[in-house]
Amino acid sequence: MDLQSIFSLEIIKDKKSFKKKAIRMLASFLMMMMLLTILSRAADAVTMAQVETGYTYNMALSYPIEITGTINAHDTFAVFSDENLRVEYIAVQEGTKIENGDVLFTVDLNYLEEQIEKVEREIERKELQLDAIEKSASYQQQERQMNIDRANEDYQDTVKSAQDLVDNAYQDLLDAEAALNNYPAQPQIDWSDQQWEEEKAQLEEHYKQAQVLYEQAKKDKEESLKSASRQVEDANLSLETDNAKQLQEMDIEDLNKVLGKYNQLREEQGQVKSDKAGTVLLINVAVGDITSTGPVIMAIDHDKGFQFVGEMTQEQAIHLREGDLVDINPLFLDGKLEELSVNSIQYLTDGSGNYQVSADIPEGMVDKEGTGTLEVTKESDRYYNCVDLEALHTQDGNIYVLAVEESTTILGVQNVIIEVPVTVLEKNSSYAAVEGNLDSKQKIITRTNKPVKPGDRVRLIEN
Amino acid sequence: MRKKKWNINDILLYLLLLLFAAILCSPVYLLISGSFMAQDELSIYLRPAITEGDTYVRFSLLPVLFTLRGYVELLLDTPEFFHMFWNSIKLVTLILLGQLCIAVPAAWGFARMKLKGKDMLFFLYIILMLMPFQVTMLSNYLTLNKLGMLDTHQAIIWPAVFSTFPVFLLHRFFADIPNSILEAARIDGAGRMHLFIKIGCPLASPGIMAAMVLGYLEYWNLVEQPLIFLKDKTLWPLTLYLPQIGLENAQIAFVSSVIVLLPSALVFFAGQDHLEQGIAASAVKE
Repeated sequence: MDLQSIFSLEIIKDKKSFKKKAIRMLASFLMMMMLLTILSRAADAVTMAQVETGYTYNMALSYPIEITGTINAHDTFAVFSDENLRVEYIAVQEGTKIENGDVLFTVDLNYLEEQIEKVEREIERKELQLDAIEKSASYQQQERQMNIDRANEDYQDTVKSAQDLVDNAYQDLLDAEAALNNYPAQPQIDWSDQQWEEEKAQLEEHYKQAQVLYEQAKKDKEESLKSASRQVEDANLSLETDNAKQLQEMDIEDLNKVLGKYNQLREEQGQVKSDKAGTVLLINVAVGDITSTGPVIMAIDHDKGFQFVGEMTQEQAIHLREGDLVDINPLFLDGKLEELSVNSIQYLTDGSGNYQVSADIPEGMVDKEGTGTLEVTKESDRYYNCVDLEALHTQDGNIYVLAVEESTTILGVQNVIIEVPVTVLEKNSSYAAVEGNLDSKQKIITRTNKPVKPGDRVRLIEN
Repeated sequence: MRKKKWNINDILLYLLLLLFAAILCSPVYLLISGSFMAQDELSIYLRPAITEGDTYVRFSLLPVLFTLRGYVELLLDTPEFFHMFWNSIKLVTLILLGQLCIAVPAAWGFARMKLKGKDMLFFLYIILMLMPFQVTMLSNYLTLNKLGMLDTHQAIIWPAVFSTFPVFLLHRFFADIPNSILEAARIDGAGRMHLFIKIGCPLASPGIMAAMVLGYLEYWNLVEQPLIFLKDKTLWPLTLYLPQIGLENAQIAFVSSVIVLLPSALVFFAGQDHLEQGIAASAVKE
């Protein structure tokens, strides 16, 4: 084959045959395209995502809150018994509902009689001891008074004698002074100078001694008086304080009280009764036990009512407020307790971030403790655009919904996905209130059978 | 037959021709080569054409990684392509059938019938033929709008059916049929329709085929008319598929171009004889 034949398309030796081949190839090409059209349509139908859509709702978001907790009595009361009594019969059981005046248990009357006798004897003994104490105290008082009298008398005597000594010393001093003053200033004729001077010196010495004695007498007087007054003071000291009498009296008083209770119990035939309405919570004694100081029976006070106490999460706490009306569903009752008020919501400091919620249950609605649930449905403000929570998508921190829009494509009017950015205003467990370029007629994709993206063609599934 | 001896001048001439032929064929080759390239490779080559920069588009003669992914994706995963393909087939088929029904008798009429004002009318035809589409676009648009044909395939089909070019092309074929043949037929009792169908058409069949092949090539590649007259994308022909493809789908563009090329090539080969004859006859007779 030469180049000329190539360039003149003589490579195609039989042009008619080639023409037929070209026609056949064209026909085959069209057939193949038809087949591929069907295949591509089928593949498109198979691979096209199927989506469920919903519309935006004009609604308020509801927040159903359910909190599990316990129903506790607001208050309990204890029933005590006098000590040292033997329980003969217990008339109630734990859980028994009791009214004011109901017999709770009875004590052994014979044993009670014995206890009464014991107490009475004890009172007698105490009274005798008290009498002895009183007599002893009277004697001591008489003795004290006598000592006081004697001390006062001694004091008066001491004052008198000491004063006498002072007076005498003072008189001696006056005499010595007078003798000295009266002594001549010049020696007498018949006196020698020496004699005059010696006598004068004697007088002066005598005067000085009298002065000393006088001062000494005064000091002695002061000391004597001081000593005597102290003796008076000592005698006036009160008798040593002794509370034995009071103690005895108190013991007797206590015993009398016990005796009074015993007697009252005896009058009531040994029956211990409840003074409040309630439900028996705990019985601490058994038949035959001797009572002690502790409570015999613990009971729920019906007069104070019950309260529900439970923990709720921070999210729940956003919607529940003090004073809100809620329903409480005790598990031990068939019905619900409706429209009860939440009386307290407190932040727990245990680090859980939860809140404790409590609601009072008025008296008469329940009569025992147990578990229950607090139920309430709170509602937000009304929003124009609310979507199913499944319709929200997030990418790179941006929130958007995928909506279906009819778009004219090459294949005709198709459902094409568009992305609508939104801002979530509020949401609950099912719906989210959003703000964005949405309207109530827009079809929002809520579920797809495969991942989709904006621009994808999808097939709608009729709900 | 003795083989011609090649001298150096012939070889140089052929080499030069070969070079020109290679340059002329290079778009088709690059198209086919590109259809087997991976998308990433094509993106690297073609990015300078899309983005601003100092670099130029470059292209590899052979794919670095040979792949049929583009063909699979286009032929199995792109129903839009087939929709447009069959739109094109529909348009071309109806246009060519219309031309057979309108242009061939019209050309016969202009060539063989004696009518008053025929020459003036034919002159107008030629003037219309010489006008580019852009000139007649507005009047076409207004007319189609009045007729309520806008945004329908009729807006493409009817103007094409009444195209002047096949009339002009066939006019010469019919005009050159010897009068003696027609007279003989008349003497034998042939009527006008008989003359046209039994004598005229067979004798002008190369011209008819040439008109059909040329018509196919023209209408298979229509871009402006559908772009202006068809707003509904579902009516678009395949020629409007490529403009919608971006750099990210360059592989699809190459593959679809190859697929678009195939029927044209096959039609060309099937009608090559008639086309050559028709053009040659037309040229000689012109």
